[in-house]
Amino acid sequence: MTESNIVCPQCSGPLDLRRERIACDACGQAFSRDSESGLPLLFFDHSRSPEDVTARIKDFYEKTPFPDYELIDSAATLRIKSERGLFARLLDEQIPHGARILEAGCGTGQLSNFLGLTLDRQVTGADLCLNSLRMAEAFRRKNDIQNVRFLQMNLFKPVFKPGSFDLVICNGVLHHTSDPCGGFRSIARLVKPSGHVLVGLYHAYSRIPTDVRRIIFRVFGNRFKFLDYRLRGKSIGDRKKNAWFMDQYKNPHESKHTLGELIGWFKREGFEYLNGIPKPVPFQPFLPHENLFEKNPEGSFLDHFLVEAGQFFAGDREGGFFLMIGRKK
Amino acid sequence: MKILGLSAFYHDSAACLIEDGRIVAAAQEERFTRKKHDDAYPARAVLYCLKEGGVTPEGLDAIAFYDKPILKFDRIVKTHLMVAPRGVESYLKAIPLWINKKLYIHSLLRKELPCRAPIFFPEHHQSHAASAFFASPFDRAAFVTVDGVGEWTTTSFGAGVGNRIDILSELHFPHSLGLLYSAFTHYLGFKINSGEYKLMGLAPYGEPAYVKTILDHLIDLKEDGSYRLNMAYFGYCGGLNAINKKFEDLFGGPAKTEEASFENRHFDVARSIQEVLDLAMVRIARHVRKKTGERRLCLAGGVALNCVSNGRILKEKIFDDLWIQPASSDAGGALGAALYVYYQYYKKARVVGAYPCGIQKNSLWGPSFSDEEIEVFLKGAGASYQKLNGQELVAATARELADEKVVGWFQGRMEFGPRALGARSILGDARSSKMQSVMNLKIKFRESFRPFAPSVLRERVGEYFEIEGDSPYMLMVAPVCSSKQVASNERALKNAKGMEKLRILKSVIPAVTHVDYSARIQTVTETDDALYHSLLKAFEKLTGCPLLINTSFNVRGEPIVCTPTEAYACFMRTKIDVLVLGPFLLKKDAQTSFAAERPYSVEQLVGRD
Repeated sequence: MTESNIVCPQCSGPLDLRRERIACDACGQAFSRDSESGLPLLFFDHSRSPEDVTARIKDFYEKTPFPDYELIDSAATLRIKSERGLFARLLDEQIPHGARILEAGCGTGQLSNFLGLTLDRQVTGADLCLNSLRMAEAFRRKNDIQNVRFLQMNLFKPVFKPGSFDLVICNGVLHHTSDPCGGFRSIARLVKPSGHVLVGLYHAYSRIPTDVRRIIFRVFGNRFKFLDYRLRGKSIGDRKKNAWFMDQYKNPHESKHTLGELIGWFKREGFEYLNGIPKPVPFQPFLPHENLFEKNPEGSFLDHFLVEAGQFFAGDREGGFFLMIGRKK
Repeated sequence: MKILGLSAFYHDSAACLIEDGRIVAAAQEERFTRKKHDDAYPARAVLYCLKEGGVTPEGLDAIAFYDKPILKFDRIVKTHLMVAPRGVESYLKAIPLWINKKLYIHSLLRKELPCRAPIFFPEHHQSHAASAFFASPFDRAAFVTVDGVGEWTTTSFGAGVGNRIDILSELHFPHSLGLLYSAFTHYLGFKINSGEYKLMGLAPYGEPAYVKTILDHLIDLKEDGSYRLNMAYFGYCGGLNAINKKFEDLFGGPAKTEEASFENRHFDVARSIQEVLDLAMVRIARHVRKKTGERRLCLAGGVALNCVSNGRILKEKIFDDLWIQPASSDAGGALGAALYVYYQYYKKARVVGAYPCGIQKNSLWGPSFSDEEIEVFLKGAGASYQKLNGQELVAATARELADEKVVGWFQGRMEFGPRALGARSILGDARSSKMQSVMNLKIKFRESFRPFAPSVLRERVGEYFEIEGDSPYMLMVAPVCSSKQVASNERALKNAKGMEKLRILKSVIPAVTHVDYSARIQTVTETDDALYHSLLKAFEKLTGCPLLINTSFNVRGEPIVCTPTEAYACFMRTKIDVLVLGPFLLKKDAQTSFAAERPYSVEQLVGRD
């Protein structure tokens, strides 16, 4: 993995991770390594007040790493489980070898490890939560996945030169920040020209059922957990259920967005919309062999409205979520 | 005289063309349609066979279908009557298929193959027997066929002399070793009709703790190898499942799901059923030896693919020599049916192929691609490659292998049968300790417990494995020689339980040594496959080691690759380092990726059905 793309989050001076002691030659800022996992801790705070969302979110996920590795004890099971999900399977089928990928907000690193396991892609998983990263790194080491690395980073203060990646994945992350649009701008810079970005966000309307449940849980306590599809099911273990419950209902901060809003961000940062789940045009189902990186119509305001109205009733199981892929012009 | 053999509508459809008692072409339909175990009418395999033989349907002298649909229908109806009113559900599922399609195979074949050639329907086990004996290098021999079920027969034996085979005795449905083994396959969370060899690979991790349970409750196995199953434990008569609650209770818990992790109990169950199968096969073999008086044995039918049992028969020295049909499953029925008609109906003089492989030769009877065709594809795909002549190619490939690189090896005609034999293979260095997990998890994407099989130079096989004679089709298991074992770890291995055994170094060729020190061997001679032999030679010259890991060129859940396009797609979608396509050598590092303005997905590049 090339290390020349790593820069100091404070001054953008070059940073050498191979050195025992990591420090920026330009500004003198020093960074430590985690004593347990050896991971470089390159988190650099961008907010002024300690009461900021970033700090609260970081605290929250340090206590409850998400999505956790329960029942995934080996590379083989990671593969089986990942392939069962349409989205991960399509990504794996369609991202070629050698691709340089950043997963900004990788959590416990399942997707990063999976994408690196199956093919020689250069994957970097970054997150602000150290406990999650430790799990990710432990799994990576255990299964000897050499082309994946993890590091701690604040996505508002990235440690990479602009244009370092072929694909930046930021799935279910920006809505937990104080400034989602600014966060997008920050990671969008890391995509090289004609590279791709993949963003997943909570949706304003399809998130409503979750919001209602959250209120019920708050008022009546947690005995109403059966109202949630995943907490009711038997497919996942208790540890994982708890991780889901905490992530969905006890998260200290989340914002909600619309299709048109994200397409707007894409345009502003010089990206064109390619594809998404759900598609922003009504009555166009997302197919099991969909080409993720092919240009699709981005739809009009009315299209978006119809799709979003439909989502209110449909997308409940995944917690009211939508995804979009864009290409940098 | 040209005869087209076909098998279809159960599992593993295939077609085969023979001309005057010699094989011209044979291939499984799955390789063309890319649907694993495709059971549809083998339209594309037929098309290929006719093209390879340069004949049109009118040019055929006969067509042979591998079983008698009417008898099979008879079995299904009677079985359901027997268990009625249970089984209504599966009855309603099966019958429409039969009424609409399977009973009209004669007219379907006439429509697909417009010609006047007569159509023959030998019985399922006659086809298996013919594929075992007539394709073998023996002018006279005994044969045994064992599989799940054909029409009624599940196990049969007999003797073949010259151009005749006679089935002397058979056992009938529902008593079936194949279905017994499949029931355990299901119980351990694998897919029936495709996961059986995983069960076989799992067995050495356990202890034979349940052998008595199985013999006491499930199967009444007699001294002569005949047996009856206790149907109270099975669900396949009329039910939709192979096993029932009673079966699950017997082994201390419900059937394992695919994703659940293995418990020690599962290993013990796997080991026990394998022991029972070995026992049954050895007893059958002894009985057949006694009854027929023949000194040589041929095997076919799905159970003959269980190389552990085959190795046991060989070890017990019941017969002087053993030949196993490499396409032993229903695919081989296509070949058997054609041979059966040629010899039993037309009574033609027997053509006995050269020892040790018979007319089956190296079993490379599928499509091949010319250098020009491959180059046109590579140019179109924008691949970066170099063209090398024979000696350079072999030397360069051997160097990559010695450097612990994983090589996709695509040469000449495709294999007929489920094993890759050096035409569509992924190769690696068996001495490397990390190779097994690298290949399992990062290239084949399969369970880590399964070991790989070695291809070894025939002339040096005795130095590494305790086997006498040939195993050209990778259907024989034999122990690694004690001189090549790592003796210091023996105690650790004995004390280890289940998957712990995997981590202990067992021999100097760890990637192909199973936890019981056994290996599934393919012997390679210069006459079988000159190019593959020279590759092994070149590797030996570099490293002193006369063997390589040989695993089929595919990823989990997909059939073995057939065309250069599929080979390239598989190469680009896995961690295979080097691809050798005919005379062309491609290195993964040199292939363009995201960086260039090229289509993102290989699927997009090669198209999808």
